[in-house]
Amino acid sequence: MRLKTFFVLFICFSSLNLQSQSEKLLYGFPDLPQNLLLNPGAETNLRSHFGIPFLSRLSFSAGSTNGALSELFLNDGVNFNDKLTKLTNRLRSTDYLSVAANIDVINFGYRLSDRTYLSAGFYEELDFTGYFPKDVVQLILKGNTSNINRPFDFSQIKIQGDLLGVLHVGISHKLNSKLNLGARLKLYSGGMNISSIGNSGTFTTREAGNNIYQHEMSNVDIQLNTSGFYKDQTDSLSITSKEAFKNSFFGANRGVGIDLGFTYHITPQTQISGSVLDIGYIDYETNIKNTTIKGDYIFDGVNFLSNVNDPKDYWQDLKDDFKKNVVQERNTNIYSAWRPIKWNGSFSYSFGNKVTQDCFVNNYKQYYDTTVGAQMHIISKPLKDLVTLTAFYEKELSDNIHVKVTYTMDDYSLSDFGVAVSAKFGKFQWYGMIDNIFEIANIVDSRYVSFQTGINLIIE
Amino acid sequence: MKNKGIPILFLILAIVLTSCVKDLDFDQTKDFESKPVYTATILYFDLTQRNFVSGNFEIGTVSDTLDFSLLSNEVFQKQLEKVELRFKISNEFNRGFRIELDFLDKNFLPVQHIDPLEIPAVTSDFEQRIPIVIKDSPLFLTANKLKINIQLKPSSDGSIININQEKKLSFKSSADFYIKIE
Repeated sequence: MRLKTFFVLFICFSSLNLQSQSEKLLYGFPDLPQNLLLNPGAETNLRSHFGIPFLSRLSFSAGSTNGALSELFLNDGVNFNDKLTKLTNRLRSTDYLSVAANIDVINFGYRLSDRTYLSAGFYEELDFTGYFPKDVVQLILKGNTSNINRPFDFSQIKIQGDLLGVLHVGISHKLNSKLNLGARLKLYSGGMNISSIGNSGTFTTREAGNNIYQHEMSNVDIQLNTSGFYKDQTDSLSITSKEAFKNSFFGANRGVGIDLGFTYHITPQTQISGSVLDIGYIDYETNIKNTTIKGDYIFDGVNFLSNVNDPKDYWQDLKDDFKKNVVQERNTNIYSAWRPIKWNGSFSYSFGNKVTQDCFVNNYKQYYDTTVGAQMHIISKPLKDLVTLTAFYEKELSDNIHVKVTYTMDDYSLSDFGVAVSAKFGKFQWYGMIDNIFEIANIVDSRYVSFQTGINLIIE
Repeated sequence: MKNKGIPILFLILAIVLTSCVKDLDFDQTKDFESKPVYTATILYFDLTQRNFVSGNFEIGTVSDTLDFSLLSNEVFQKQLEKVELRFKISNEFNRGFRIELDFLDKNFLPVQHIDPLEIPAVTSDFEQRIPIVIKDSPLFLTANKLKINIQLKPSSDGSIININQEKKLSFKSSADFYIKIE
C-alpha cells in the first residue's frame, strides 16, 4: 500500500510543473508596497504602509507542462494503470514539479525622507522543485528485463526544497530624478530543507562478462541532504508541520541574503528596471539526516566452486565487496544550501492621460495613466534556469483602481494571460492576481494555476 | 472613468466563481498495479578436468552450497509472483553431466527441488528455463540456500578423464523475478 501511494503521488506530482510564478503580475505594479519585495529599487510614493498581518500577501502557484490532473483522475472509464503508463512514458526527465507559496506575516514601511522609503517585515516561504527521474521510475515500475543494455541514469534525481521564514529590511532610495536604487537584507530561518542535486551514475544490465548477464553501477555519486524532517536517525518522518513552522521562526538554521534592484527613467515616458533576489544561503544545523552513495561496481554473479577445497561464504563476501566498492554513508553533518536566485527585468513605455499625484511631503508627481512594456523573469533551477518573457498592459482606471494584463510566452503555453487588479477602499488597499486566467475556469484541466492576494493599510 | 474598474472586478469574480471542476475520482489509485520484471545474474562456474580427477581416480560428484538472504527481503516475501531460472551450459568433455539443484531452508531441509539438468557430452548450447510459481510453491520463499551437485556420468568404455587434456564445463545462470506492486 505504501509503495502504491508513493508511486501514484510521485508521478501525479511530477506531472505538475510550475512555469512561472505570479511575480510577473506583481512586478512593477504601481503603488503596491509588495512590489518592493520583487524590486527593492522600485519607486514608491507612499508615506507609510502596514500590511494586514497574515493577509498582506498570500500567494500560491503550481502547474503542469506535460499533463493535467484530469488526465489521470478523470472518471472516464479508462483503466487507471493504462493512463499512468501513458503519462510516465510521455513525461521527460526535464519535467518537474514546482510549488511556491508565500505568506506575509507582517509587512510595513515608512518614509524616512523625501528620497528614502524603508520597508521591513517577515514572511514564510515554501519553495520546492523536484524533477521527474524517469529512469528510476521506469526501473522500479517496469524492471530491467525489458531494458537490457539501457543505462538507468541517476543524474535525473534532482530535488530542492525549502520551508523558511524571512526577516527582511530594505531601503528604496531616489538618487536623482532618473535613478532609484534599492537593497534588502534578509535573515533566513530554515524550517525544512531537502536537497539532492549534482548526482551522477548509471545502472546497466547487459549481456557481457563471465555470466549470461552483467550488472554495472558506474560512477555513482548520489547525495541527499535533509534537515527538519527527522528528529532521530530512524527512517520514519517524525517532525510535525507545527514543529517545522516553529523552526522557521528564528530557529537554529540561520542564513543571510540580499536583494538588489533599480529603476531608471531613460526619458520621462520610458523606463527600465531590474532586480536580483535571494543572493544568499542557509546553514542547516538541526535534525539533519544526510545519505551518500558513491562508487563503481561490476557484478557477473557469484563465482561458484572457485575453490572447492576451501568453501566460502559467497553471499557474505559479495555483500562485503559491494559495501567496500559502493560506499553508503549516513551522517548528520552541517551543510549549506543556496537559495534559488531570481532575476527580474522590465522595459516600459507610458502614455495616455497625464495624471498629477499629490505625493507625500509637499511634492507632486506627474505620470501617464497607461503603460505598456516587456518583462523578463529568470528563476534558477537545478537543471536549467526557468526563463519567461511577458508583455504587459497597465492602466489606471480611476484614482482607486489599477489593472494590469499580462501575456506570457514560454515553451508550454500560447494562451497564458494574467490579470491583476488593485483597488482602494478608503485607506485600505486590496489586490488580487490570477495568472493563466483562461485555463483557471476549468482548474483541473489547467496546466498551472497561480494566484496571489493581499490587503494593506496605505497612507499616501 | 471611475466606474470602469467595477465591471472588470465582477468579470474576474465571475470567472473564478463559475470555475467548473470536472468529476475527478481519486479512488482510482486503488486500482494501481504494476508488474515489473527484474533480471539478476546469479552464479557461474567453470570446472576443468582437474576438478574431476584426484590421483588416478575420478571424482564422481562436485558440490557446493550458496547461502543467500535475498528472498527474506520484504518485497520478495510479499510481492514475488514467479521466478524463472535460466541456465546456459557448455560441456567440452566427451562425458555427460547431471546437475542437481535444490533450494534448502535454514535447517538444510529441501523446500524447492529443481528437475536435474541432464547435460549431454560435448555440447555448447544447452539452455533451459525453469519457472517457479510462488502460489504453487510457497515454501520457496523460505529458501536461503542453494545446493548444487555436479555428477560426472560414467563413460561407456570404463575409461577415465585424461588430466592432461584441457576440457571445461561452463555453467551460467540468471533469474527473472516477476513482482506485483499494488
